[in-house]
Amino acid sequence: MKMKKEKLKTGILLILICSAITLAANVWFGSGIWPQGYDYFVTLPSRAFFSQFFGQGQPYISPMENLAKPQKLVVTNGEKRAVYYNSDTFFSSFYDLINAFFKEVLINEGAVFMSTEVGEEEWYDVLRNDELLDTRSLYFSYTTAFSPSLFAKVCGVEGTWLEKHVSAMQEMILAPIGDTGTDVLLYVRDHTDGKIKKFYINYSGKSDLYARITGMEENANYSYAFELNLHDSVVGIGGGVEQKVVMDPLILISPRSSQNGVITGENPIGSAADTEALLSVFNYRERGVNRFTGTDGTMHFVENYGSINLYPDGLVEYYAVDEKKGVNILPAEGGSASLYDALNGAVSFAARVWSSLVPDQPFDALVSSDLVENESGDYTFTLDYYYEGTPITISARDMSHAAEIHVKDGRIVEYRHLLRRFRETGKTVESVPMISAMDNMYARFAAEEDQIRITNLFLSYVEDTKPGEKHPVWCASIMGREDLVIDAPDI
Amino acid sequence: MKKKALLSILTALLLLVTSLPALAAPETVDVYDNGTASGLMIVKKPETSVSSTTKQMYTLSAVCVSGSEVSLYSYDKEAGVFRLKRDGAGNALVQNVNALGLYLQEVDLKKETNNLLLRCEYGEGNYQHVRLDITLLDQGLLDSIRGFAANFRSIFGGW
Repeated sequence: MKMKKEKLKTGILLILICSAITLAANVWFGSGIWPQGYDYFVTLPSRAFFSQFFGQGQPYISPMENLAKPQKLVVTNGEKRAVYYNSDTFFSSFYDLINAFFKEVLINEGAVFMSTEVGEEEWYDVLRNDELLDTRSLYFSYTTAFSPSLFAKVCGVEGTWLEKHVSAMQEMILAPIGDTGTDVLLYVRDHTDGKIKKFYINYSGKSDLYARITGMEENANYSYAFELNLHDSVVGIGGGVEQKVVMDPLILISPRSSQNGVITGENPIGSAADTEALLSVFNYRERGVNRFTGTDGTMHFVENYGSINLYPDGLVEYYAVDEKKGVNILPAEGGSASLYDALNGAVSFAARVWSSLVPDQPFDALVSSDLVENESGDYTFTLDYYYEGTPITISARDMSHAAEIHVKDGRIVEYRHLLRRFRETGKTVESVPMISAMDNMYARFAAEEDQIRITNLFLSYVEDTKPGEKHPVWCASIMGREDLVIDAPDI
Repeated sequence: MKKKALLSILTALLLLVTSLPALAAPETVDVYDNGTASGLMIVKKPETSVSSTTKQMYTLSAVCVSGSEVSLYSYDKEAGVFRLKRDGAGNALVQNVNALGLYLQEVDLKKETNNLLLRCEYGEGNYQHVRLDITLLDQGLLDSIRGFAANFRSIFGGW
């Protein structure tokens, strides 16, 4: 009897010890009881040494992984054509083919058995599918122009023979020659001067490439503007009518509407713990920071060598007072900052900022600034948000990108990031037909200009930080106008 | 009382008729009708009146005078006239062209020569007709002209 009583006592004691430990851990690591600036344990998991134990050592760095991924991929298989964006289901299989091609070919100059410069007509002929040319091609374009060496690096190889031929690359075409052999054509448009280089390449994976393209059965009715002759104001049957719009040849046009998801956007900073987690990414220590809140709700954090402003809509601004004391983004202090190092550091930093607040959602952003090496070590990178492959255009305050990062000698000296978390609502809406959207846009300038030249036209969500649901609207870049023209009356 | 009711009905009918668009595409167009005007429309795609394609879902493009109405007709062999084309839901392929003057129309081609007619009407009695003969080539026919395609390849040095 006495033994039983002892065992019961021991059991109760063990339960009490366990619950005491659990409750103490909750108090330590929970965010509720700590005054602002003193929640040391809450921010502990995000600190460098402890992060590996708390599983936060590797934040999502989608933008860096995404660098090697084209933003848009157009597959033409005879009369069939499909357009994929970088989060579409079928995108990955084609991207894997492209990546495998570059990994093998970029470092193997011996695979190139001829190269030449060609004109625009051939570039179009390799893409068009309305004629009798039996076209099989993969066109892919990136959000940014790369130097060939950087492109090779993001593809996972060091150095490339392409440097001898091209200065910067953003658009390419892969076209397997015939259904036998190993010959593939690679067309690269030089972003610097617009010239098109054509390379005849011996590629061991050609049969896979050919089989995947010819196996593509999808047929979305997209036409390039050049196929509809809307890039040229001369061609056509008849005359006497002024063509009021001329379009960039590679704008994809569909006479159909599309169904698109509806999303919401919100500031992910919701608690003092979020603020502390964000400050810790900038290495702001609680005791060395002066903090005050402005009348508009903006929080200001001032340290000896820099300051951070945190606006109520999610915009975070960081400025280094002394450029030499900016946030170091290189693996080692005082190292040299190549374009790749600076880019890698800047993008990883933005991803850390993101994952400190939204750890459960990847940082779905793409670099949009051109990536061409310079000797000054002074770079400004911009990143844009995407949601399920659809770009999110920022139209809030004076920002036009999700993040703007100024890096000097391996240190971030200026950082602006509109932090917005996007969620799907489960609803869909039908987009305005492209032609109606262009009509609306033209109506705005009809009195000012007789003819407009559209250089880009795409569906995009617009984040203006106003509450409410968002659905994609048509946006256009018009030659001679710096700002993006958005087909939405209230934006 | 009856007179008043009749008058009301007539007034309502008159209002209804006058509120309808002034331009209304006729159901049929005579093959010899070449139109009454020119300079109302430039057909951009196809580039020529007689053309061939491999695309069954074909997109026509044109630039037209703002405010005009563009309708698409196909040749009715039995009746010997061009008949207004309709989509799968029975809607006539008629579009009002807005400020930009751009016209795009998707058309499902038959595997033969498709005799089409585009009519652009602007103002009362002013209309322009453009005839388009587009041949949709099927796979068999395409195979038979592989030599033609091969010639194109040779132009591109192997493509």
